[in-house]
Amino acid sequence: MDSTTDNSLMLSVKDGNIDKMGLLFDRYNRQLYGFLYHSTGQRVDAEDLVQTVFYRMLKYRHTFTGEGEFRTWMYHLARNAIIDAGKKTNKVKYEADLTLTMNGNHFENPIDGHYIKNEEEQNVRLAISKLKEDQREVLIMSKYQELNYKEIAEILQTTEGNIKVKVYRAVQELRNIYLKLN
Amino acid sequence: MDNSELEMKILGYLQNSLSDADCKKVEKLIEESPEFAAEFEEVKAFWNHLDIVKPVEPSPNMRANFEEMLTEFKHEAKPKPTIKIGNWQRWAVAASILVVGVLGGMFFQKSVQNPKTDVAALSDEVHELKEMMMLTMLENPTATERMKAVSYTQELPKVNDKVLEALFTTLNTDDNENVRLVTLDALVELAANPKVREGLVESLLIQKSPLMQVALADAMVQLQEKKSVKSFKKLLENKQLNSGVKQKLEQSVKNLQII
Repeated sequence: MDSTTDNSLMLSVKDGNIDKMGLLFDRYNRQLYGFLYHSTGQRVDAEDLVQTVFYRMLKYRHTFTGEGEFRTWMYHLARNAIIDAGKKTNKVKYEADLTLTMNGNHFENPIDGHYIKNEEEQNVRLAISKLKEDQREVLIMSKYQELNYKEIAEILQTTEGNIKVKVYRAVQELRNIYLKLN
Repeated sequence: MDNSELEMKILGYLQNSLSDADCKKVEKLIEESPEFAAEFEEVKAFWNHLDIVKPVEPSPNMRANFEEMLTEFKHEAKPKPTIKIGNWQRWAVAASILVVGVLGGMFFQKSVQNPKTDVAALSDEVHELKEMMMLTMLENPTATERMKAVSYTQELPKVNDKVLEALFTTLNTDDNENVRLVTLDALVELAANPKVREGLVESLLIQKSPLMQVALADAMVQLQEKKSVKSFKKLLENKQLNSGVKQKLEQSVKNLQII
């Protein structure tokens, strides 16, 4: 087996080569952060959840069999981490990031001084935030995480056909919200 | 195929997830039906428009925090050494337990005669022990342990100057932002003490991170600490101040002056 595939790296972690987790972190931290940021709307929560997911991968490494894809397993853990965080704090549900504040006709993030000048981008973000949780989830997975329908179906434990319908309805709903916002 | 099925195919087409046969069906329909072609263009334009949302980058701290967690995990996962004991050692252990039991019994009998003093002394010792543990843990190299240490302040019946000093040192100098934030929360809980309020106002001018400055500003408004206005104004003189923080501080000054 190619020793650099995700599955073989994770199996190696399972066998005790804990340091190999660093390679998986390098491969997936941004993608995972993007998913968690879109799911919570909060930068700090998203970073904490990334740590939680990688910690759980280490803690529950014995449950990784290598039969399914590593990526699917990772998203399973990520979704559970979001649910658990919500139960604990009763607050990890989507909220617009408080670090994004309106300033003139663009948005500014005071934490790192990053300017998001494009108001259009903000409108799309706002429209996404107004979607129902399950619709937002499939849309993010499909559009921004570039997961195919089969992968999403595996993560959400449903059929590919169901995901097709869900993504389609999410896009339709998003279009309606977006048009109303404009 | 009904309309919604066709529209679903449009999304599949845009995501390159259709079979060749379905792709051809969609292309044929675009050519033959102006309505479908118009719908296709609309969905395509909107789908592509969603690309305007750029990925948000995590902070550089995330990698460092991961390394820290990994090191800690490896440390915890190391098998603990086990002690093998022989027969004579078992006898020695049993004898020691017996001696401790007898001494314990004698102590118990004595404490029954004078229960109040002993319970109070024991409780003081427990508190001292907790305090000592908390102060030691604050110097632990791992951030998680330091956060745990900060949370122990809630269990201390009285927070003395030594503990306060340690908390303020953590608030003002700890490398990890999460530890500093947790410490700030712990100190806000102790804000009935004037020394704490004073220390928090001083910390405003020490903190360099925008996140901490914003969190402190919120704390000052929450505590209605009007003495902080002077520090806010001093901070606002800094031309290099992050403009988001600037807005937040200006708002906080307004809030504190209104009430």
